[in-house]
Amino acid sequence: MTEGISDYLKRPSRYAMIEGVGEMGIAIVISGISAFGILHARAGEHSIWNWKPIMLIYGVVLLALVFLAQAMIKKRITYPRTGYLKHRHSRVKSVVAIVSAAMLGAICAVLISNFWKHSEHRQDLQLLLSGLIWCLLYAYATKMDQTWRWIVAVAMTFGPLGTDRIMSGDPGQWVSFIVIGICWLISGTITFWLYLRRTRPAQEAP
Amino acid sequence: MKERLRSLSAIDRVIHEPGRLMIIALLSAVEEADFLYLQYETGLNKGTLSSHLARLEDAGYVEITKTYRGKIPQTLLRLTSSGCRIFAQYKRHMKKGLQM
Repeated sequence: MTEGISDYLKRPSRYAMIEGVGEMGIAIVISGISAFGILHARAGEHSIWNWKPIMLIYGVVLLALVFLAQAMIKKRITYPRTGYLKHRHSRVKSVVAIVSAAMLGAICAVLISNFWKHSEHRQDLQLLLSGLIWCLLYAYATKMDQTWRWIVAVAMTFGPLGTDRIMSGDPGQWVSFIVIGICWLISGTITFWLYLRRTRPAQEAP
Repeated sequence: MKERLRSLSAIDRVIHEPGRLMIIALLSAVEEADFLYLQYETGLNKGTLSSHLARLEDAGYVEITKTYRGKIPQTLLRLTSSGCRIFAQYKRHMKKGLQM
């Protein structure tokens, strides 16, 4: 009984990822940052891509576009099909979540850049660890509620390393980062397609 | 033992019904939700869901607002402070009463 109630209490937070738009948003942000990294690495010294404030402008525009696109899809597709809900926002919880995520990110970055400093397989281990971290984030966000998600998780873990083996060189690392974005995009597209197949736009309450 | 039984007898009958309990549990986790969302999550049909909501509104646990989303009518629902309190109390009583 208590388990049943706790499941209902968790459902609204799962609803945010129900149609895969969140996954597609993450994919676009990762791929966008990677694309910027490639442009930055390949552009000449006096190119606009090496102008320092451009990264900030690019980041803000990218996030704004993703946010607006997500809001539009929710309004036009999700709400008419499976309903609207407004999450309860607690300032304390938000601050704790942001601080924890920042700390976790910093710890991961330190681990990735320093842990295998003297190992000859340093780059391989770094790519494997970053793939594993993204895989854990993916598992947490999607709850691995469908079997096919395991294939995406495996691709996310080993994809960056495999890509780096094929494409060496400076932009190669960014390309391997794009692989993670592609995994999120594939997953989001499948989720979105399944959601559209499963649901129909409904008329409202009597 | 007596205290545990007393705890069970103090349970609110309005929200003890499974359909209404699902509604209250879902609404307790959000600021507000519409009728369609509750229908999707609970799997109840329109008539049953409406009657449960009417009962919860009469008891003062749920606040119902009729509005429009574009040209489509929308029914927004939120838990009142008394609804939040009664749900917390319900969980406490059930935990206490079902302790083995």
